[in-house]
Amino acid sequence: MKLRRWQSIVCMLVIAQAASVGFLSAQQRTYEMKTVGKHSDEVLGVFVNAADTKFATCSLDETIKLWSLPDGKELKTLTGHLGQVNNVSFSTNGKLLASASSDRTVRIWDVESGKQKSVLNGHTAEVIGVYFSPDANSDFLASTSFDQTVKLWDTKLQSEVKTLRGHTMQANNIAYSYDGKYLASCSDDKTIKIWSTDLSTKEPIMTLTGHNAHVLTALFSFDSKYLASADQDGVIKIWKIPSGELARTINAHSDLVQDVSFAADNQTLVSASLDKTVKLWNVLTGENLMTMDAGVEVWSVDLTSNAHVIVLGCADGTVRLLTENAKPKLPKKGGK
Amino acid sequence: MKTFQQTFVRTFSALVLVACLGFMPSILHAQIGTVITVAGNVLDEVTRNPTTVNVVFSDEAGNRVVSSRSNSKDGSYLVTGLKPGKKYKVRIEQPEFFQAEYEIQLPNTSKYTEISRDFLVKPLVKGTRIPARVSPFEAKKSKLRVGAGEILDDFKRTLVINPNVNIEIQCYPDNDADRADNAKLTQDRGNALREYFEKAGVSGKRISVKAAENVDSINPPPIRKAAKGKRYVGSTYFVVTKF
Repeated sequence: MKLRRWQSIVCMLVIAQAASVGFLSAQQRTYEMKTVGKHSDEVLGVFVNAADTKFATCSLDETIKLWSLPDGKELKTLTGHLGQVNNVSFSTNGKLLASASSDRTVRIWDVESGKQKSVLNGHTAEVIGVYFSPDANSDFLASTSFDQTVKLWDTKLQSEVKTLRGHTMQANNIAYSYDGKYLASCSDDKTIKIWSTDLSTKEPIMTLTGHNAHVLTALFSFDSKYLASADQDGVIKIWKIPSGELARTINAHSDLVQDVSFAADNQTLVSASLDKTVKLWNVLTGENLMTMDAGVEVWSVDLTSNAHVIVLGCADGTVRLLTENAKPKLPKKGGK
Repeated sequence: MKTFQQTFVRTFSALVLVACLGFMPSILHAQIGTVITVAGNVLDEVTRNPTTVNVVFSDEAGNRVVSSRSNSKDGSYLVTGLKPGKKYKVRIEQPEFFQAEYEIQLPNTSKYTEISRDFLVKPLVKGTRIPARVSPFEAKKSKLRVGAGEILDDFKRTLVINPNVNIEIQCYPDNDADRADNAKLTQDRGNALREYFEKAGVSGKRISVKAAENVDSINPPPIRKAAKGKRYVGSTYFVVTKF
């Protein structure tokens, strides 16, 4: 879930308030799963917009679909890519969608019309990750590719402005920090590299090591104080930012974790795996807040700001919503 | 006693001699001309063993310029006397291998330069299976992936300059999930490759397609699941059926 900062703060306060009266206590989070639609092949990426009103999915079937929230109604199918679409990202204002594809292109789409606005050529291998900058106009876009590079694109000029080299193997995913200062890229070289968004700096600020397998994804919390990364062994690591200190290692899943996402409280993290489970975690304590057996391999996951709805992209092509059940009444405290 | 004239003549002669010696290398160099040497190894594309072949360099007009025979021990060859800035055609000649032709654009330099260029040659033996080193397909897809032309270009040229060779395209599926689906997928992949070669001028009659219901036993899928974009894609082979 990716939000504007003020929204994050509001949501954080709401969640903090709820948590204070026990609504979000770990054991009480239960969800109901519903399939809302289907791609004709595996769903590889999911992204919920900042307003929690839409989400986008992308697939091996080379299409992108837009859906409404919270009802999960299919709105549009975007076609144009010539290969599988590996990831999608909404701009901050929700008007643009970027997609990364094995056809080696990044494409930008107009969300309202569903039309393709631009094709960004420059990567020399499959493009896996894509992420808009968090500024109001999303002036930049970052992408990662199996060509081992991170590229920054000017979304208005529709041109490549910077190539970051440093990974020694395929680069897998990319994320901006929400304060706009950093980019995190992860790679088969088992590292995460933190880069400055300053256009004149081309060397990584730091390289985070500790994973023992290919690092498949990395994502900042909304307050930019934490970075979560997940690997091919199913391990999630939480890093403190900007120090880069390892805060926690969670042996989260029994198979690879391709996607994780933070809720707006900056503490709740959702992870999805090819072990067919979806899990919620408290990144501060490492506590498992919820485990759901989806019954199918899950490639991608995102959630709404309050974690009330979790969106899954599954290997059978289905798009599923996990909706939190109505809260049970809290047990009365003794003495009353 | 030496006269002033004698001293002057001797000094002048000595200076001329020193000057001539100083300029000698460049004078000689100018007479010979700058040359470029190309060296490398020739290997069997299937076994990667060194091979003995004739490596023939021709100019753009097709006139033979120089040739070398690669060493049987390590496949090494070396040709020299090539001109900077020129483009050469390199032809690999040996009856047991497909004829192969490449172009080399030499750098435009004023200094003697050595450049390296290795060649892979395809054995011309009936039944030889030449693998596509990089799959021209994406997982579960039968259409050629974007960029497949770069992968197939070498084999396309090989077929064009070896018009008497017939091949069978053998494609294998990505998993063992459904035999009927696999047969269709691999037949469609083979057809897509045949169509690609036909567009390049290779007669479709020279190309047959063999579908497969099960995964390649020589190069089976990994036991461990792969991340997105890194999925196992079934093997593709080009098999020599006639030459």
